[in-house]
Amino acid sequence: MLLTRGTVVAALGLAAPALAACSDPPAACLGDCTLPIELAPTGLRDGVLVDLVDGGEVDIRPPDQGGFVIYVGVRAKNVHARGGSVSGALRGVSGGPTLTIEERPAAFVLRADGWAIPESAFQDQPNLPVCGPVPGPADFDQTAWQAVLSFRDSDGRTASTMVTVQPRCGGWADCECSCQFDRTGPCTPSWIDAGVDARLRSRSTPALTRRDRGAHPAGVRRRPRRAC
Amino acid sequence: MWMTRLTAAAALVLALATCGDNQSPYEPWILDPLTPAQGLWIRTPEFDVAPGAEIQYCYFFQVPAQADGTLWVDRIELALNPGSHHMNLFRVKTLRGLKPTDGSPVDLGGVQGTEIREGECWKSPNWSDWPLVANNQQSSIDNPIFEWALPTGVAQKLDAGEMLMLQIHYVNAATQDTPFKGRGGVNLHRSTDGDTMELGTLFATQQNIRICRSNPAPTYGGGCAMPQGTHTVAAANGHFHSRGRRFSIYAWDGVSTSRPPDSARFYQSEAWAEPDMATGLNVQLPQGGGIYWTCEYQWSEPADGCEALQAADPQHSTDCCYTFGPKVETSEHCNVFLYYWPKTADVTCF
Repeated sequence: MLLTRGTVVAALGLAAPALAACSDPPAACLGDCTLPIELAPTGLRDGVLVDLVDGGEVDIRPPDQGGFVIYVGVRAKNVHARGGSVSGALRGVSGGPTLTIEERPAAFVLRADGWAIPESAFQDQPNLPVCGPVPGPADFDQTAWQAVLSFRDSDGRTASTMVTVQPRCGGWADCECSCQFDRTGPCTPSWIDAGVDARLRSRSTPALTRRDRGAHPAGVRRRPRRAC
Repeated sequence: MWMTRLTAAAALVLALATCGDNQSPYEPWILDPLTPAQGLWIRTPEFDVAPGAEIQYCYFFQVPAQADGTLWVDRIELALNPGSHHMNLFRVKTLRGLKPTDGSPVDLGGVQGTEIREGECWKSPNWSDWPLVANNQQSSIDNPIFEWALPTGVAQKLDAGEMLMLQIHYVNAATQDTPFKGRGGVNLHRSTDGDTMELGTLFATQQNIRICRSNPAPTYGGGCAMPQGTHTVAAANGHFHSRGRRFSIYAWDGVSTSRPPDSARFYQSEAWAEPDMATGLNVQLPQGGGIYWTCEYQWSEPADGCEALQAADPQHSTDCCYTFGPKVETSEHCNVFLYYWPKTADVTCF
């Protein structure tokens, strides 16, 4: 038993610097939890987490699993951030149907200015698919959408905020072509279909239909790895 | 017919002979082959699933020539030996790393095809826009065959020459075990009563999920909007791995930005290994709406430690997190398989 406890103490001693370096998300209230929760929108742009203002661009990216999503979330104050959850939804700027919605648990870390921000821009912000069958005439790319963002802390307190966002493909391979954002003319994909269509298309490359969408070749660009 | 039964009997003898000290009397499932007039059938070869192994094989084949160019299917039989984690049948669309021409020739009984074992058959971006045709997750000894008669007037439409891919996943490790050999079969029965309403399918998945030691009971949820039109859900099932505790699917109005009320829930399963396939649902989705689904998890200590989880974690966290991935032992999923009519599009949400 003594040896076991000694081993544990030694292990904790070794682990302490690592834990400190990783700024473990605090369990205590971030701010003053007798005050209302403050939220501000965040998103992923050019591969990094940024604060969002109305009209801000956000990246459309291919997750490792396939498809295309945007990452939008919140930073927060006056919250018990550990054990909270965040949700996001996209709808037209003037209302209308909600096109996509997601809710997920979120881990936060404390920023120097006192705001709790998503620990990971990918895992701790809603992943909103933007390349599926969209009801309505508009496409996601180059079009402003209203993101409705909500946060529930571990005490069950909730708050919401909204921001208009403009998803963009950026430099991702096949994004515009696959999601059919470019309607100015035919696009030539870097892939082909299989089955019946493949035999037909092998002789020519006609304009694609919405059903022909695809995704990026695996490993074109990778998300940054975090030290923690 | 007698040849099939003879083959099955031989398989039984072989299974018993190769199963070592397993004394369970195992009777292989039998699906009768179909004539071209009756439909399309395939049977995979038997294959070993070694102790500790988790395997995934992809079988490609084309829908044979049809007299009128189309095969309408109104009854589906899917059979699996015990130990399977899933069987998914997709229409092959965009080709990325997983290509039928890269496979080895294989005799699938009713048709000839190609087979790709492991490798690219594990990588989900390869089939991210391949529409679902059918799926099955039931592979118990007592109930090895899933049979589904589609709603009256509804049928699945397959074009002659269309390339399909049957994917089979077997596990013989800590979370699931394969007592005999792996094997799958499919019977797609031709509609002969003039069905004209086409069955559509929806496949949705949650991205970037994490089930970690420090947050051991997370819930992920998402909404999936259907194309314009009125849609009726005929069948559905959910899919996750052994940390999954409850899978729920709701009708969603396509307007609200939060989880629908419990009264809108039409599917719930707490069986991760053999999740219920709900058929005969007849749930009409709200016009302009879709579905919402949730996956509730409970973290558990991995049998072989956290090293493999940490290696697969995009954040490489030391928090022993199960993240998105196909391996039952070390990763998690949150997938919806849903069947609806009338078809307006092949729906994928991710």
